[in-house]
Amino acid sequence: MTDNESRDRQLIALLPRLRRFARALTGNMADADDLVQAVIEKAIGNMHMWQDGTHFDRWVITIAKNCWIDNRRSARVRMPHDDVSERLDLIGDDGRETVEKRAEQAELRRAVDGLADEQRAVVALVIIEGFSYRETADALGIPLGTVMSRLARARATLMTQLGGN
Amino acid sequence: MARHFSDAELSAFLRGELDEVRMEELAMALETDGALAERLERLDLLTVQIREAFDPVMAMTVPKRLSEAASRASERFAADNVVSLADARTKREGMRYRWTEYAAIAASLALGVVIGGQSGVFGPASDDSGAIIVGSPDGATVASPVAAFLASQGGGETQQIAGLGLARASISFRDSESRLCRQFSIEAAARATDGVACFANGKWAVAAIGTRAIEGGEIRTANGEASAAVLTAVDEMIEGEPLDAEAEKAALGALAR
Repeated sequence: MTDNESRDRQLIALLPRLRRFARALTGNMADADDLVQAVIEKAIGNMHMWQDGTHFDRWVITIAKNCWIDNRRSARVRMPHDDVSERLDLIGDDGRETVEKRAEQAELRRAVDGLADEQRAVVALVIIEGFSYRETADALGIPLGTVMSRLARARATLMTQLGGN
Repeated sequence: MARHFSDAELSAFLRGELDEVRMEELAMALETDGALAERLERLDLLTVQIREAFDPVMAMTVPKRLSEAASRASERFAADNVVSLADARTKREGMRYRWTEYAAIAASLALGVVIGGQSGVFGPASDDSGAIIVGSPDGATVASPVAAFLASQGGGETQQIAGLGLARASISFRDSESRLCRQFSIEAAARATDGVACFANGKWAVAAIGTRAIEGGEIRTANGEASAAVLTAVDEMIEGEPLDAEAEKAALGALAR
């Protein structure tokens, strides 16, 4: 079953990226990993719907987006906390620059976490995952112009929060 | 529609100050214009910063539960189907598999998957010997000896198929798409497999299948005696009455041409 093995490998290789995307959507790693777990289950269950020749990564990311939207409806109270910095402690050299940079990154993640869900979904797809505006519009089922305006509003909010840099 | 976008306009977009119409034009242009996308990106420090802020997640160790779940993917998927097929076999009443489920199995287990001969074999195979149904990228179809039987034998006729058992043709009918469909059974020692398949594009596509135990060694396969799953499928699919012997003969003859 070479084909399945290759899908295993593709799915495993995709996990770090999937976690990054899930972290951007959910606002913390615990929820992100729960989301990723759900995505794995769903991807396995729906593997027959994946068409050979299409982008496996896009397909899985779209499943993640759908799972997140579904879970969001169950109205769990989200408790944002930045656990990326905590868990990333002490990776790499610890010069002053690194520490500062890390603090800036944590601040930016918190700012993204604070965006409205609709805006955060667009940020996660376009900026973090590199979907085109068209792909994002299709994935979210919204017009192209709405993708652009949500993204623009998100950028404006983030820049204000980060002191206009 | 102006296709050129100035740096000022790009900056305005990044600040959220570009008007809607122009914004949509920009979105369209970005779809096809790589150079424009690069210009936008160069202006867009924030995009780079956001990416950098989330990239560290990729460097984190993936929890074991996730990597294990992913690495068990194919194994578990295959196992689930084996279990469900085994369950179906143990039931007195046959279990119904719709075409879509076969398609799922076929697509997921990929090439050369074979479902059930009378031995209960389910797994990859290099050919379709010993199987009644074969998964293919087009969905589930009957294996070639069964196809040959369906294309040649009229209702009520039987033929021994090596490795499978006694094939018995039941009714023929047209479905809503006017395809020729046939109900059939393949009887082995203590178990019969019933199916209904429709002819399209040179293949007999399986619409439903079921298994049942044969009691007391006596085999009777009037239309009224088949797996409930298959009978239900036939009821749902049939348009009008079953074909009579003459119409069936004509329909089979047409297949050969």
